[in-house]
Amino acid sequence: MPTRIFTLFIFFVLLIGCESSDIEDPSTAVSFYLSEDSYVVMYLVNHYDVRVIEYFKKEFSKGSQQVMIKMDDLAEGAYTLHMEVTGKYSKTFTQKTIPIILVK
Amino acid sequence: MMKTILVFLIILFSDFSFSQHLVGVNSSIGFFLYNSENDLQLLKKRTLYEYYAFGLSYETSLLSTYNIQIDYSYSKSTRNGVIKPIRTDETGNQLEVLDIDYYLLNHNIDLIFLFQFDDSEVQWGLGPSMVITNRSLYFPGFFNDILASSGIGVCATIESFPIFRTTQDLYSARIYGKIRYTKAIWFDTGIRKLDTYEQQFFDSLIGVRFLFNLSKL
Repeated sequence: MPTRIFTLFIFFVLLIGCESSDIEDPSTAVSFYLSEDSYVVMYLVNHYDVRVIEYFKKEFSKGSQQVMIKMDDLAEGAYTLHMEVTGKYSKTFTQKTIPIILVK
Repeated sequence: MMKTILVFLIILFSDFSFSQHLVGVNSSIGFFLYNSENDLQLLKKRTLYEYYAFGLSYETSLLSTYNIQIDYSYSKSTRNGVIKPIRTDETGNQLEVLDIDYYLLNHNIDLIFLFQFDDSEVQWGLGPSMVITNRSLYFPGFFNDILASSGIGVCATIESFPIFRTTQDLYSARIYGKIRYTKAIWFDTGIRKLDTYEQQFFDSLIGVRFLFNLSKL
C-alpha cells in the first residue's frame, strides 16, 4: 500500500512539477506583398543608428510573403526594422521602416 | 623622474603661499553648435539645441604669470515623447499612447589656463576638457537604457572684469563665455552594438560666476 501511494505521489509530482511556464517566443512574423519578383534586404537598426542584424538579402517571387525575424539575443530598447525592395525587372526601389519596441 | 616631480611640487606649493584662491558657483545657458545626437533618426525631428548648466569652479595662480581654473558643470537636456508607442488590446483597438523619453546628461570638467589681457581684469583661457555623458532612453515601467561614456576635448574661454565686488574683494561676480569641443573615446557598451555610433559635442555657452576669495579670509 505505501508503495502505491508513493508511486502515485511521484506520478503527481511528475505531472504537475515538470511543466515549464510558457514564455513568449521573441520572434515575430513580418508579412509583405510583392508586385513583381524582387530583391529584398531586411535589417534591424537600434536607436544608436547602428545596423545590428541583417536578416536576409535575397530574391523573393511576386505575391504574399511571410518571414520570421528573431530577436532573442538583442538588448531591450527601441529598434527600426528596415526593408528595401528592388524590383527585378522594373528596378524600382522602395524602402519601408517599422518601429519596434523590444521589452524583455 | 622623481627629481622633476619634486621640483614641480616645490614650485606648486611655494607659489601657493602667495597666490589667491577663488571658489566659484556658476550658472550658464549653452547652445549646441554641433551635437552628433541630432544626426540620429531618434532626434531628427526633436533636435537638441540648448541646455542649462550649473557648476563649481576653483581658480588659483599656479605660477605668477597665469591663473589656472578647474571648472565643473552639470547639464541635462530632455526630449519627452521621442517615440510614442500605442498600447492596443488584442483586437487592435487603441488603449493609450505612451511616451519614451530621451535624456542627455553631461558632466563637464575643464582645466583652463587663464591669461590676463594687458591693463585690464579681463581674462582669456585655453585648456583641455573632459566630459562624462549619460545618454538615456527611458520607457517608464519597461526599460531605461542608460549609456555611459566619457570623452576628451578642448575649450576656450573669456572671463569679464568683475561686474560686482565687495569692498575687500571677498565676493565678486564675473560673466564668462566659453566654447568647447568634446568627442567620446570610451563607451560602457555592455551588450549594446555601437560599431558606427559616435558622440561629439561642440557647444558655446554664456554664464555668470559668483566667486568667493578664500585668501581674503
